[in-house]
Amino acid sequence: MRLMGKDSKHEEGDELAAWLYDGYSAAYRTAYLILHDRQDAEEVVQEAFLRAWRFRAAVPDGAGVHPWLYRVVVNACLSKLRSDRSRRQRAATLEDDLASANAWPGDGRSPEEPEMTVEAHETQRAVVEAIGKLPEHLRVVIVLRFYGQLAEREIAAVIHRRPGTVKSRLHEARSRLGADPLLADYRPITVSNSLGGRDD
Amino acid sequence: MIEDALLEDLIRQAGEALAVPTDGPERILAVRDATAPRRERRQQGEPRAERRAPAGWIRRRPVLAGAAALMLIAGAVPVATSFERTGTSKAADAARGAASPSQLRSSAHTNLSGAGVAASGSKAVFTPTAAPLLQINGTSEAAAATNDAVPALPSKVIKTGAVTLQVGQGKLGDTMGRMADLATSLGGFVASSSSDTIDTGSAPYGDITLRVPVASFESLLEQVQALGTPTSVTSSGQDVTSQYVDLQARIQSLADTRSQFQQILTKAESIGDILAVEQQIGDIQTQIEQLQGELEVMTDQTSYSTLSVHVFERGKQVAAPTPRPAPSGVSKAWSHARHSFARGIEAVIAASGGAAVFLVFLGLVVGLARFGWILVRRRLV
Repeated sequence: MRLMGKDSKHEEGDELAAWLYDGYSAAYRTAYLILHDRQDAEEVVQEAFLRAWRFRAAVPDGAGVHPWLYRVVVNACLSKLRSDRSRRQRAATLEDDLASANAWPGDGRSPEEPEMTVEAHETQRAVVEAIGKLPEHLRVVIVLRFYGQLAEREIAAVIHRRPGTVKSRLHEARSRLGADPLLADYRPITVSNSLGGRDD
Repeated sequence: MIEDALLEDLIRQAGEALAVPTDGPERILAVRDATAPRRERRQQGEPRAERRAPAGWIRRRPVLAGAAALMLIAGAVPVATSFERTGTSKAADAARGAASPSQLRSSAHTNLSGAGVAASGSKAVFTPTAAPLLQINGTSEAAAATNDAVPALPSKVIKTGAVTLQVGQGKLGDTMGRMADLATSLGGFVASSSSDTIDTGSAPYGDITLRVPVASFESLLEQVQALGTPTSVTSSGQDVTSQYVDLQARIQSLADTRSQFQQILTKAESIGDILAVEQQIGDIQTQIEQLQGELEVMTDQTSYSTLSVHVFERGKQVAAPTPRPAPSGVSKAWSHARHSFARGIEAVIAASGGAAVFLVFLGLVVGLARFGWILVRRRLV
């Protein structure tokens, strides 16, 4: 998904615009899944992109900018969790945040598409809610592993824990999600291809 | 336990189903454009290799810190020097300032071609026979006229002068009154005035500061000297055109930035965003007002010239101090010891002052560098 149109005045030769063009959606969704708050996710992603752009001279050689950007976003999420832990308990406004009708212009999807059934919507909602019920330390690893597609050692590097710790946390997170009644009866949703791919 | 493949599908699909704010990227770019230093924005068009060059500053931080400390100390020395020379006379200051070619486009001292002129330090002293010929007419306007090829900006010149005037006995009050009338007739005013006519053994004297429009400065200077016998005349013209233009540009730039923030403010949704943007707008407004104040002061100084006149009556001689009896051997030794002790203490204080300044600046720089390094380590991945 490309959020920035071709007519954007920032597009030509603007490094930050290129980063946003390629990675904003994935960064925002990752932040949302970790923080479970739309406003916090927007703030964190904004802060992370601006910080990354300000310190772009520190981009590691060879690995490319996107993994590095992703780590900056995740670290910003972790900082946010640490900074206002008491606020984490508030209910997420999932109904507004889940794609129901006109969420993503340019995505090619519309509410009339038969694939976006009520069942699919309910499944997505249940998954997000189930993730939100996990403790933060489990939520982070499960999101990074299954949405961010990071390997266990990469997650360990991001959260500054040993791979063994990550492994045990993943195990516990899977157990809790498997035991969650919201997910007990769900199976993979077979929808159109547009749902399957990552933005970047 | 739920299978990995199933969990991955569920989470990925749920993640992809989350709505993304469509204006998020544009908002980030707007914040960047409004807050990033101009230098950083200019770097956008440069090749990547050139942009990565500054990465070395992180490794060279100790060297930079040392350089910053040296610059601070180097900056502190002139300040200290300026404090030390506050004891010198205003006339000497004006003369010293006029000698600086980097700041002054024109400076004028009295023409010393007349006979009987003595120089004392940087102050020109006239004998009564010296003709008070001033060359201040050749100011920035004349200099600008020699450079026709360059499009002329309206020159902004601060003109100041100082005159020491000797008048006849009993004429102090009358002379000061006439000087006040003179300033008024030229469209100016008396900025300050004071006199001491009490008979304390010294000649009565008075000080008056006149301010007139810049165009009338030379006329005022001539007419003031005609009121008595000038014993010292100095004048200077400081060209501040570049500073003036720079101030205007900075104000304009800040006003533009403020407008951008105000536009962002209209789009801000969260309380945090609104407060942050309002804080930025407040800071910028403060800077604008400060610069506007400087601009107003500069405008006033370049609109009205300042002439300080010291007037004294001739005739009365200052009573010579009664010579003190020469000290005896013991008292002479005691006096010598006392003065030596005082000089020693003064020397220690003078030396420790410089060291203390150095240590304070060094500590500040090291502290800042350490704090910055900790922040970078914590925040950077």
